[in-house]
Amino acid sequence: MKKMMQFMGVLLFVTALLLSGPAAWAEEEPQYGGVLAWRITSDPPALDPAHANIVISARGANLYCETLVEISKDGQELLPMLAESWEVNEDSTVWTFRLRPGVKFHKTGYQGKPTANGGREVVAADVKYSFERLLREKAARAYFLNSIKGYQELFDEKADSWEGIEVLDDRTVRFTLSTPYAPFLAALSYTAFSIVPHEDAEKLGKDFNFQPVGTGPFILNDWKHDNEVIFRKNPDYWRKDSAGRALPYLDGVNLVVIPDSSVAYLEFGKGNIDVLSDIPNEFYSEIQEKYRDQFQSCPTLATQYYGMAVNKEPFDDVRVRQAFNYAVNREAINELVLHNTFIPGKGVLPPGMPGYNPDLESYTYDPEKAKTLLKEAGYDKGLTVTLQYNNNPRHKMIGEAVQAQMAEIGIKMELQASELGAHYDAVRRGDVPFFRAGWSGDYPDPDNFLYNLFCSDNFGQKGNYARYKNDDVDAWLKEARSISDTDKRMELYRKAEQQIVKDAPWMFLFYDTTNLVSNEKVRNIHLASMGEYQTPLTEVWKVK
Amino acid sequence: MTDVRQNAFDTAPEENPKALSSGSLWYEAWLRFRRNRLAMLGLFMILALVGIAVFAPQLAPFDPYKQLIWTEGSKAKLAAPSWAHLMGTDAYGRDIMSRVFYGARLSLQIGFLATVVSLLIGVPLGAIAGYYGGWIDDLISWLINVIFAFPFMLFVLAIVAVLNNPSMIAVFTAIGLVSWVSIARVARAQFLSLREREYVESARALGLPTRTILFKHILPNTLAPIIVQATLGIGSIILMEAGLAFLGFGAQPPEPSWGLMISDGQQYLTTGQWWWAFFPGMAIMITVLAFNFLGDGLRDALDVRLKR
Repeated sequence: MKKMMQFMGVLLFVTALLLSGPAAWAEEEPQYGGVLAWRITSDPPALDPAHANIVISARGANLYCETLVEISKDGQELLPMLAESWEVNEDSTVWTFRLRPGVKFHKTGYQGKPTANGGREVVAADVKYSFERLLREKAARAYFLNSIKGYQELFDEKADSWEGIEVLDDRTVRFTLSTPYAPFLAALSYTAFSIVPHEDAEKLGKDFNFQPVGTGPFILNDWKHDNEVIFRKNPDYWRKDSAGRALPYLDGVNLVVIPDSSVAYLEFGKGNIDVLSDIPNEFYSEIQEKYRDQFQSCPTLATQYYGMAVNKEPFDDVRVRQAFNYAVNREAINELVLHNTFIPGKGVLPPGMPGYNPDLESYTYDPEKAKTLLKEAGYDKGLTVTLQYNNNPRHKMIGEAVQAQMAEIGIKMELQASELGAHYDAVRRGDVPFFRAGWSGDYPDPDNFLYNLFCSDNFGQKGNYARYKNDDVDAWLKEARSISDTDKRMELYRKAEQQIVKDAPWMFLFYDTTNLVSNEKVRNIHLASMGEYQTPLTEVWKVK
Repeated sequence: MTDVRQNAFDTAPEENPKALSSGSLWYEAWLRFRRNRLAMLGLFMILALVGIAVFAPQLAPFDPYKQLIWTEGSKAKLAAPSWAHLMGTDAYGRDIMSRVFYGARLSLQIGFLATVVSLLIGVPLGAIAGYYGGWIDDLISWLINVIFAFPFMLFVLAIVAVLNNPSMIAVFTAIGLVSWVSIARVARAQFLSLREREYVESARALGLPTRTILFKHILPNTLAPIIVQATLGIGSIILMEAGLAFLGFGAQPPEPSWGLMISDGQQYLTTGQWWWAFFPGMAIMITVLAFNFLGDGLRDALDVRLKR
C-alpha cells in the first residue's frame, strides 16, 4: 500500500510538472519580428554538429541545422523532419528513407555572404556525405551509428565510403545495418547526425565550425566569442505554421554569454535577456513566485547518481552499496534543499523514458536497515569514505545534505571537489572509488542508458564508470538492442534494471527536471523534454 | 591577501640604549603600548577571539554540523536572525552563530600554526643570508624575490595540482611556502646591520661558535621587528585562508570555515538572506582588524625611533 501511495505521489508530481507550462497563449495571433535573447553560461565550444556534444553547443547547432527525424514534444515519438517517411524490413536491418522535397540549404551564410551551395535543394547524397564526414572528422558520438555496415572500415580509413549507406535516387537513401539495432531511428535524432552541404563543408574545412551552413530556421550571422552568438532568420525555411504562414516568426536569436547567474538574473529582470534556463537554486523560489505565468518545468531524460566502483573496497561488498542506498532520504533532500527541482530517483531510467518502470522495487529511506547491513558487512564501527564531485554549487549542496544523512548511520563521508575535466578523467580511468556523476539521454531509448552505463563492454570512457559486471544483465542488454519487438525489448530492460538496482553499483539519487523562465513578451515557447537546450524556437514569437 | 608582502621594517632600527637592561626595555615598551588605545582594543579583541575559539563547544548554542531541516522542516531553512538563532540559519538549518564560533577555531589555528612555520623557516634563512652575505645571501635573496614575484593564486593552484587534492594540507603548504619570505626579509635586514656591531665583533674575536653568535647575541636584538612582522602576518594568513576557502580550496564542507560560509552564502545576498554570508564576513573583518591594530601598536611600542 505504501509503495502504491508513493507511486501515486510521483505520478501526481510528474503530471503537475508536465501541466505547469503556461497555457494562456494559444489564442493570440502570432506577430513577426523581434530578436530573442537566450542566455548561455559559456561560449559554445563548437557549433559544427559533428562536435556539438555538450548542451551549449547543441543549443546553437539545433538552431541552424536539422536531422532526418525529430523527437516529439513529449519525448515519446519520432517524427519526420528532413525525412518525409521511412520503411524498415522485417528484422530492422534495412531502413529506407524518403527525403522531404523542397528543403533548401541556406542561401546566405556567415555575415550575409553567399554560401558555396547557393541555396540548392537537399538530396540523398548529402545524407551520405554528412554521415561519412562524421567518421572522417572522428566525431566523438559517431559510434552511436556503429551498427551501420562498414562503420569500422571507414573509421579505420580502410574504405573510401560507408558501405551501409546507399543513395538510391535523389530523394531516397538506404541504411543497411550489420546487426539489428532497435534504437537506430531514435539515434538519428541526435544533433551530430544533421545534414550539411558538402560544398560549404569542403570549402571551409576546419572553419566550417565557425561559419556553418545547414537547413534550419536560423542562420549563423556572427559569432563574437565569449560575448554573443548571433543568428538571423532563414527567409527560405521549409516549415509553415498551421495556418500556412512562413516560419520562423522571429527575426533572429542571440545566444548571450553570461557566466555568472546573479548577473544573468539581473539582466533578465531588466528585460535584456528573454529566456533564462537551468535556474540556480537561490533564485528558484523567487522566480517561481514572481514569474508564475512565464515559468515552465518538466522532467527530462537525465539521472543523477553517486557511483561506487564495485572493484574497490569497501564497495566490493554489495551490502555496503545497499546500505548507502538505504541511508539517503531523497524526498527530504529534494524538498528541503533542492526546491523540488528534481524527482527522487529509484533506479536508472527517468520517467518519460520508454521502458520507465514505475513498479521498480527499490530503496526507501531506512537508516535502521542501512545500519544492519553495514553490521553484517563487518563495518559496525563505522566507515570513512571520500566522495569526489565536480565543483558546482548544486552538487555541493546535495553532497552536504547526503553527508549529514550518512553521518546518522555512522559513515563519515568526506567531500572532495574537483574541476570538471579532471573529475571525469579520473572517474573514467577508474581511480575514484566513490564519485558523483550524471547521465543525460542523447535519444529517447533505454539502450542509451542501460547499455552504455552497465554493460561490461563499456567500462570506463564509454560510460560504465562503476565497473559493474553481471553476466545476465550483459546478455539481456545485448539481446534487447538486437531485436525489434518493442514489448519484448522493454521486458528485457525491466529485468535488467531490476537486477542493477538490486546489485546497487550506484547510489540512485534523482531524476532531473528542466526549467526555463521567459520574458512576458515571449509567446508560444514550449520547454523540450529532452532538455531546455532542445527547446524549438521556430514557432516562438514576441509581442511588440 | 597581498598584505603578507608588507614589510614592517625594511631598514635596521637604531641601536638599543645600552644603559637599560633588556627587562626594563620590554617594560618601557609595554608602557608605551598601554597608552595606545587602538592597540589595546586589538589585544582585547584577540583575547576575546581566542576565548571564543577555545570555549566554542561551551559557547555555541548548537552543534555546528547539525542540519536542523531534517527534523524541523523548512522553517529551519535560512531562518532570519531571531532569539533562537541570533545569526540565523543556513540552507541546511545549521546555526550560523555556532558555525562562526567554531570557525574562529579553524582560522586562529591556521593563523598561528602557519606563522610558527613561517618563523621557523624565515628566521634562520634570513639570519644566514644577512650574517654571511656573499653568494649565500644572493641565493636566498633571489629565492625570496622569486616567491615575492610569483602570483600567489597561481602558486596555490600549482600546489593543488601537484598534490591532486584541494584539501587543508595543500593550502597549509602553500601558505607556509609563501608567507615565510616577509619574515626572512626582515630578519635578513636586521642581521645584515647588526653583524658589523662592536659586540658582535668582540664575540667573534673571542672565538665563539657562529651558532652562538647568531642565535644568542644577535637574535634577541632583532626580535622586536620580527614579532611585529609576524603579528601583522597572522591577519594576512587568516585572510588568505578565507580567500582560498571561498574559491573552494582548503576547508571542505561541512567544515565551518568562514571563507567557505561566505562562498556558500554569497548568492543569497541578492535574494534577501544576507545573514549567511554577512556574519562570517564580519568575523573575518574583526579578526584581521584586531591583528592589524595589535601589530601596529607593537611597532609603535617597540620601535625606539618613533618614541615621542
